[in-house]
Amino acid sequence: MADSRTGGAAPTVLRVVLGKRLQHLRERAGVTFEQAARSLDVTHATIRRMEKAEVGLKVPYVEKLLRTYGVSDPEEIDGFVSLAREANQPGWWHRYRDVLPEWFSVFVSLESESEVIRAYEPHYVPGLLQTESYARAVLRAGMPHAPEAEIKRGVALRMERQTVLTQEANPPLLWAVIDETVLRRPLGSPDVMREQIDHLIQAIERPNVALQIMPFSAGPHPAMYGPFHLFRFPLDELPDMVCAESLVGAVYFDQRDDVSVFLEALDRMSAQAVPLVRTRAVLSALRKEI
Amino acid sequence: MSEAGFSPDQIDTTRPHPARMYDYYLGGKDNYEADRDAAERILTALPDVGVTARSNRDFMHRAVRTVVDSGVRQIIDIGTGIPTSPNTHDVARRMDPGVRVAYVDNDPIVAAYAGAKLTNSGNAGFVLADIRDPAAILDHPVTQDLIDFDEPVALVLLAVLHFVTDAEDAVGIVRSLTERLPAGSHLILSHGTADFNQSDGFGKVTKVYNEESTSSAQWRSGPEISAFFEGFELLEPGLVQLPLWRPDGPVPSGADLRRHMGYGGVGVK
Repeated sequence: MADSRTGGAAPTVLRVVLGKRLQHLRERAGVTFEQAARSLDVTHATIRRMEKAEVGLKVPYVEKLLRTYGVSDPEEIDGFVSLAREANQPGWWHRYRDVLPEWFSVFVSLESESEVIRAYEPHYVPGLLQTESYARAVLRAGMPHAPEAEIKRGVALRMERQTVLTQEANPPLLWAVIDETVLRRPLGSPDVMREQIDHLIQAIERPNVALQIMPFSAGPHPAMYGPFHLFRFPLDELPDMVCAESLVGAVYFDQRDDVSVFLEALDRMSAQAVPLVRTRAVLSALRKEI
Repeated sequence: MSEAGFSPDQIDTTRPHPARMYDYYLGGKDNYEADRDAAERILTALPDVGVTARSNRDFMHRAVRTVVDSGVRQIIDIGTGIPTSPNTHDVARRMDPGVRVAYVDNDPIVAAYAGAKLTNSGNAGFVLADIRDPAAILDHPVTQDLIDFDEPVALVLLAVLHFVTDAEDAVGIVRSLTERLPAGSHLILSHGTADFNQSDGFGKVTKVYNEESTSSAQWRSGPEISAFFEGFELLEPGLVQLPLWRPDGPVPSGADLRRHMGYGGVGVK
């Protein structure tokens, strides 16, 4: 389980990869945390945090660690260092840090670097598929005391997040299961709901959007307690990560046996939900009832 | 009954599933703890299962390219399993974007994966049916819609028949699947075997599949596998060890070759 309450900028996926590589190199060289820490004149906690991607990777530290771990090929060192520099660049979402809590900054980072994003949403249309007016209604419902300017910024952030689905280079597959509740509970005016459903009908035409509806008639299913996302990255060595959301934050899981439980729940739900080929028909039917 | 045509209790995730175990052999992430436990025990008994799974994938690429190259534009792929990139239609459509593929599997979860990852791009469909019921596959509306039985078809049976036992009449099943295919159709087939590696690990592997997983296993010999090609003429080089079927790179030899515990072949009707 990775906790995001550690401060600092949210790790990019690249930083997570480099942290894992550092750990691998250290273990291969048979170097302990304490020995590694001594070579940098820092505490062993710093080494742990570097490997867990909880802190940025300082270039002089990286160079010295690689030598301590017996990496002597200058090309390999240069390659690693340039990746570390890249990993320290802030993502586009840092421009929204005024409205972006730390836990959600991690989420956006994972979302923008995924190959597959799977989600279960019991109450809302997934953020990546929301219209502007629907997003405004969702944010307003969640933050009744927020000034209008903050809601506006939140909506802008959400709209910018959505460009990941339409980007030309390797857009991720979004495969989401939403509960029938999402389409039945009115959010905003009937016009807002109708426009949102029209938007979904358009979005599912994209080959990288797979939206399934879990009908009331399917009865109980394994994830009824709440929403979560599962992120898969284009790098084999990176584990899948799950973000389980709550009212005030989120918990991230990356241990395989934890992640598997969510994967199994998603798989069972996807099998139980209305098959994808019928999503459009269900959306159209529900739209007529609004 | 759900809208997908099966009851929720048909979704069995308590027992290891061959499709998810195969995904694990290939280094995939779409498997659960029960699948990984069973797969790890199999890899302990027969470590080369992983090597064989990969050479089976490579054989699929070469065989599908060969068949599409010969002009076949429609494919029935039975035993789809968990999608692994590139899939049958990815390989086929690199040669001709118009190739149509009907994927078939008996597992509702595989059906869900196929919907999201395989058939979302058009020209492909999924049939939820069991290989042991050939009529259900061939008469299914999705098959009928995608496949023109007056034109040559490629029937793909990759690493699936070793999960159909003789007691279930594996040879008769293949005959029923192929008898409706017109002349010029192809059969792409691969199958696990103990012919190249007489390890007593096979006994343990069979035990794990038979006693724990959702399917029983039967490893056949070369002559037994040849019987599936009844009515077909094998293309060169015949039914051979997986890496030896029209290799497009260096071929392993000696002890390295013995690690590939499967046969592959392509026949034409």
